[in-house]
Amino acid sequence: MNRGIIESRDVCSMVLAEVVRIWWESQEGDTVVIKTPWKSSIQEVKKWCEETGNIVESVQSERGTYSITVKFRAPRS
Amino acid sequence: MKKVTVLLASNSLESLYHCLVISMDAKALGWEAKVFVTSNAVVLFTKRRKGRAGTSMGWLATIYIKLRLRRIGVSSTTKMLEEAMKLGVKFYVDEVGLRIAGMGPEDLMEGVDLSGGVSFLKEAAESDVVVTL
Repeated sequence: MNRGIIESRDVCSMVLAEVVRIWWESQEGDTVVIKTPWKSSIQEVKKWCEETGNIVESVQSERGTYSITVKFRAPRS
Repeated sequence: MKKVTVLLASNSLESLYHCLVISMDAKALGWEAKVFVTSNAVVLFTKRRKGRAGTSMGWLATIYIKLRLRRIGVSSTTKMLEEAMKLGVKFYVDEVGLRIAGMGPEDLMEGVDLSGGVSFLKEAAESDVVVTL
């Protein structure tokens, strides 16, 4: 199982673009951790996962940075 | 597959930014995303501009807002446009608007195609979401 990390202050769309790129090359069970200062990203990533069949494994907050761990479940359609 | 069609008719930073966010998010969700560009927004998709836009609030506000965006870590619209194209968002520019701006098809960025009202209407009619900016 691979574990990627995206650390970015950029808007959610740019972060999701990176998540999608990692997803395209991932295997089932791989994870990516998104570290972002944007609180709204939590909701956006959760909704992205609902739509794409992936899951948010955990959400943590530490000193203004949110760490969202996504586990890739579904193959890219 | 769901589909979003965006009609971009303003060359302001605000409109282009929202256009890019919506179309990139749609691609991230696995949707089809097409952007039809008309009016004075056509110049943003030329080789000279490559998505470089100013705000609708004047040059001083543009400098301030771009500085703020950079400070909080948000990418430029030029970089966002590059990413949108990499994700597969399709951009279509109205040829009349291009001619009015004194330019031609040869001035368009690579990957940007020409289009007209009929194409927009057909795409919009078949879309799940249509956004006008």
